[in-house]
Amino acid sequence: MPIDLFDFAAERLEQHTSLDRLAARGTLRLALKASGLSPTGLRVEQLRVVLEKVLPDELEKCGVDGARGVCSGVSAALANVSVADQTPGSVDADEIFRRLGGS
Amino acid sequence: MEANAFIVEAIAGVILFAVGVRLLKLASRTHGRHERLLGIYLALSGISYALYTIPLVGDVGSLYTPVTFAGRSVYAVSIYFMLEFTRSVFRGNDAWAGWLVYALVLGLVAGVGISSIQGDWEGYTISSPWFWCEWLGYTLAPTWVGVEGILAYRNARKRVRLDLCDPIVANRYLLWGLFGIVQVICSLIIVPMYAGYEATQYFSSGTDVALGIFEILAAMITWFAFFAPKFYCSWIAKESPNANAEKEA
Repeated sequence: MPIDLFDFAAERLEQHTSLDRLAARGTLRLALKASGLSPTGLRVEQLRVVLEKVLPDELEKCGVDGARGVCSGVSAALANVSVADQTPGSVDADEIFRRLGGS
Repeated sequence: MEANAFIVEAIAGVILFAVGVRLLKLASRTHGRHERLLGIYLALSGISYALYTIPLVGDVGSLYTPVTFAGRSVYAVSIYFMLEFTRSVFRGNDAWAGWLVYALVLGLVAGVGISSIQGDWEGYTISSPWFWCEWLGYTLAPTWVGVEGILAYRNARKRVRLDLCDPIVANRYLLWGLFGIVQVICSLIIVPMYAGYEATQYFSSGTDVALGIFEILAAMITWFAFFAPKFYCSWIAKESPNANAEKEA
């Protein structure tokens, strides 16, 4: 069954760390914001980069031990998920602005 | 219009039209809705600039008012495409954005329509409340473009650092935002320019030159954004945070 990537990652964080639901979702939101991304329309490859390069530091700030391991685990779990289609009406602005250059 | 200042407006119109046509050609190839919306907006803007310029190049006699009105109407129509492009790219899922488009289009239609019925076909009567209705329509639209473009650029810069966004795309957001800001400046210059015209039936040289400079700047920005020369793309790629990190490594 297709899933929402943000919900999926936040639930995994909640399960594998001492963070409660609110803190897990909030920390993930902060990591996405620092990466210039939004929870809606998030793509797997984007989430993987956030899990590798941004989220470990955010989790460490929250006192989570073994943050890199947790993030690697969530990233590995992404291989087995079927991602929900984009929200109806949503578009990938980067893709549009890339096309507008004629490439 | 003062001296040969209309030439600057004509050049700006040609550039906008050329970029618009190029985007429409791209749209015919990609069948992309956004290329089409932006292409129509820029092409219509170029046509509008040309129509405003025609009566200034030579004596068109009794055609002065109809041609100027045509330029004004085409520009008002073009704003719808600018608004729809901005809404569908940046706020496709936000109901308020749809309402904003409706409100601004309504303002433009009411402003142009009612002031014309009252006899102000050229739209230069700043003392009329309908002038301001129209003015708000064509000023708030590029304000929105500026805000969305700069916000998108701010987030895109972060993605560029993570290799999640092409630096050229990030720069295109910046240029689109700057285009909106420059268009707002043009709208602001129009206020003293038209106020002077209403009082003296003459466009002052200062505001005329200032408007020409910003119009050509806006047109050049669209050229660099959507028809960027290779040297510019290379420079942006070289100056991106990732390229600098590679240099340091």
